[in-house]
Amino acid sequence: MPAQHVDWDCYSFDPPMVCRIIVMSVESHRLCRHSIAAMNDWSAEKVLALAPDAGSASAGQGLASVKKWTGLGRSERAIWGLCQGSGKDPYQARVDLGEPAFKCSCPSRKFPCKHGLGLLLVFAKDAASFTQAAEPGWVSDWLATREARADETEAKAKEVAEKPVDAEAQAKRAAQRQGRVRDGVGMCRVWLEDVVRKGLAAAQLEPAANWERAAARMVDAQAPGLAGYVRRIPEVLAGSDGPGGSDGSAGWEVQALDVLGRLHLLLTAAERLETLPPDLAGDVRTALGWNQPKEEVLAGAGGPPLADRWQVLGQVVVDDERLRTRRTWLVGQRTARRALVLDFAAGSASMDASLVAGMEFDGELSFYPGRLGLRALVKSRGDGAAMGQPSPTAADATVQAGLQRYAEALAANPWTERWPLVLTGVSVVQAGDAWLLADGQSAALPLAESFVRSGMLWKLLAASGGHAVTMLAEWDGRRALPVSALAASGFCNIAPRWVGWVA
Amino acid sequence: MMRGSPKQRLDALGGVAVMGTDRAAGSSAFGAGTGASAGAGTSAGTGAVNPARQLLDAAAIAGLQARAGRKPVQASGRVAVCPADAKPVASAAQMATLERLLAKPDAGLIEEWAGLARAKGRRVADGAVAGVLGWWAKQPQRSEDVFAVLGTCGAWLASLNSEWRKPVAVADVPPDADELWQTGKAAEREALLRTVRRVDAAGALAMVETTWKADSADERRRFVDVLRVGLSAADEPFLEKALDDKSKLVRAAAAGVLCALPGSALRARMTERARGMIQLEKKGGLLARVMGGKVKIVLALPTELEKAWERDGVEDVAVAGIGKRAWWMVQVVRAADLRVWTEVTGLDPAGVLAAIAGDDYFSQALQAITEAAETTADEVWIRALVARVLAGKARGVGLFGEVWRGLPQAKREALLLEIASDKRYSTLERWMLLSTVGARWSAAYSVKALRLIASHAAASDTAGRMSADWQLPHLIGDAAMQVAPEAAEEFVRVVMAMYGESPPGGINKSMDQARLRAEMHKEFEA
Repeated sequence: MPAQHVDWDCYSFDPPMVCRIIVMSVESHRLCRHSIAAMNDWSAEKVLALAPDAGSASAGQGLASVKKWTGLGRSERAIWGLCQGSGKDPYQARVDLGEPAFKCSCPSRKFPCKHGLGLLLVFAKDAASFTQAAEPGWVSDWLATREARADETEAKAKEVAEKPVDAEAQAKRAAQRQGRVRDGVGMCRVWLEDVVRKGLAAAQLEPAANWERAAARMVDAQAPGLAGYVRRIPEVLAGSDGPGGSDGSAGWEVQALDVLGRLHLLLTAAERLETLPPDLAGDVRTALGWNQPKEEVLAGAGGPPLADRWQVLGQVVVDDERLRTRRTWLVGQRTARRALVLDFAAGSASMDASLVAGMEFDGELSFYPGRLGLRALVKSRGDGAAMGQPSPTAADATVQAGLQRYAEALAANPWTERWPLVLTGVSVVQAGDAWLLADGQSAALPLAESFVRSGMLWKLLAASGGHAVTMLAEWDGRRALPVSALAASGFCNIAPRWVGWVA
Repeated sequence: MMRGSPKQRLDALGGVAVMGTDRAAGSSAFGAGTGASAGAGTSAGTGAVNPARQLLDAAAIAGLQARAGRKPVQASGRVAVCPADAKPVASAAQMATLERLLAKPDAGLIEEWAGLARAKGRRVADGAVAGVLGWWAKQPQRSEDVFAVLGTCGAWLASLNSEWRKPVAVADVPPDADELWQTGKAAEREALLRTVRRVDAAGALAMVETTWKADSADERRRFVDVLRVGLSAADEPFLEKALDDKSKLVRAAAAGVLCALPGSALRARMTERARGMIQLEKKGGLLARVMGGKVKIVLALPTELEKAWERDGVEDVAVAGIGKRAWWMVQVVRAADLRVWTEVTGLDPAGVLAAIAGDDYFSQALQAITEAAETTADEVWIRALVARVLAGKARGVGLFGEVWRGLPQAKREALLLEIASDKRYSTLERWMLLSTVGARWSAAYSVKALRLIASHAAASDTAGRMSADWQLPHLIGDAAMQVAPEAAEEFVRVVMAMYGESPPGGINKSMDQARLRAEMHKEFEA
């Protein structure tokens, strides 16, 4: 590898660039808002995807009946209605269809509350029961406040953009972070070699708190990516990832060593970060959890935006106690480019609703800097339509072809944790007690245990009727986790939801 | 350089990693050349060999190669394709309702949905079949309707899942019924027998007989009870034999089933025993008897329990609060044909009840007669029993037993409306009476019953008193599932009138159920 000194931090501190970035991000935000407002095809599934948790979803469904509501009304941009709760006055629920945004007079801390979800569910089911009317004061006032706030934010962003940037202070902050991460990498290195010297048998005896402490130190060092690896080791050591078996999977010690090896590779790269080519350095930074700000990505930090017809193949929501993470997988129909959009929501907040599995749209994605360029953001998009079959260019015609793409992804970025297999013509087959995903040539991949255990296997079988289907599956190099299927009966979400961490 | 495939190398390195490089330094499994593969095996600066780093270098490379070079496995098995189902899938609105019901499973509502779908020849959409099947298989009482609306997809899916195979086997007679019958657990065999019995009563009886000698007492008792399904004279010889079973439980069960078989020899024997107990006291001759109420029936209670009585299930040991001899009488009378009373005395049922009223054992006899009327559904007797209660001072709902239970629904509804309109009943008692009608109220009955409740409720009970009663929410909850969907709004109005503007949560839930049922029915009408 040729020694190449790239000061990859400098470009983010170019003041005119920062101005451009902020102005562009505001514009792209407006663009998104506008295009979504045109989309009024709400389905119950889309609405429920907004629910902060399973309880709210179910409570919202309980209110999804016209009879629960009075004064249902709608305008071009919003819907509203009154719902009698346990209080004296009925609750005033209103939904801004553009974002969507919710507001309700009930005291619930959940957001959106069950009334908001219920109202939108009624709208999805039976829009005709909403009378087209002038917005009452409690609706128009709220919308006006929202608009005023949006304008304010815009104005502020512009102000920030026009303000001269304190380059010195920013450079100082960046240097600080760089220093912290470097310290974290050094700490992790010492810790890692210590584990290997003493042996995995000894590591198995370590109390869980020790691993967590080590992980917490990595988070403090602003390298949460390292913490992720550290946290996985006790899981593997406990054999929670399933025993080594006849399907070619490895025993716990081999799996643990594999994780340690990956961490080692990351640390080795991080130690030489300054000498890496910028794209590879981008991948390393992403793997460390040192992410570029969204604005910079949208401004083209990872290259020009890529226009294509994007299919939203599937979504996986992972529920950690404090944070929900949603992985949305997209595939460009002409370029065959795979993309991963990550969304996070803390506590009971709702996720962005603009990407719904099973739809496709013309639009541009901005990729994060890196050699592989998997993680992306939606820069602009047109209206969504129901998804069709993926184009032959975009799909993996056989399991072998899918694994080939995965191998190429690994070659570009060896820290690729999950890869989307877009398999056409695959079916679920049973081999003894194990379930496999097989293509027309009987080339098969083992299924993730969490998938079999969650009961989603049966949903997939029922939806496919045993016939071959098109499927999106997350592949981690060992097991496939099916996320969605496109069967003769239609598109079907099969990712386990609200079930905690999915390996 | 270590040799072998990446996977083999990783396996070998895993062995070293378990021990730790400190202890494995001299071991041959960890060859000296490993470090060369990455060229980073020496700690920067010192130039000394760092075995931990060497191991990690080798592992990182082998792991990456193993992942990148992973080959698909060759699948030998296949899953048979699900047979096509010609039935149309339920509409989007119907499916949305079902999904809503499954979000917070309510067995009653799901079963009702399935009943409607089945009647309309609709099936559950494939995507939802697994969810419904999983729920259904876990239910203690598994509704046939639910399984039926899962269509061929449900049966096919269940055949692939070992946890679902058995519940399904008992919902639908499986090809390997014999196998299950020979090897299943008691509850599975009982459920299987019930299914077979519904389609082939004689076959089911034959099935019981094949293993009868080897079955445990508990199993024998269960199987005898199952024979109540599709009971006919053809079962009598078998049941008569069971009266001589080793186990008391089995004997009692057989006697109970024979009691329920009209025209059985056991019933005839009981009738003759009752005949022996009924004695007419003829005070003042025929004229007095005609003129006014002097006729008295005296019950001659048996003094000892004969072996033959015991064989027919008459228990020796009495329940609390009743004498031994009276208990024998009760057990005989409730299994005897009611006609014996009119035959012996020459009186009509009302006359019999009047004549017996003075007897020491009147209350016990009345109880037994009521039970007999429940099973035989003799309308004249039922009317006489009801009239007696209404004419008396005591008006408790419990006095009726459920004497109308055997009547056809229309007659039962008419009778209950009549009884419940008696002004002396409170709203609570009226609910209790009206809700004994059964699982599904007819539309006309629903409206009439609810109006009846509403018209009296306003006059006799204040809202405060009503909402304080703990029994009423249960009755309202039951009614929510029983009332005809056309009357759902009426139901909500009546309940709202009772509880005012903000009813408690449980009542709200009942009103929701009634509304949801109405919506569901409407969806299936369209």
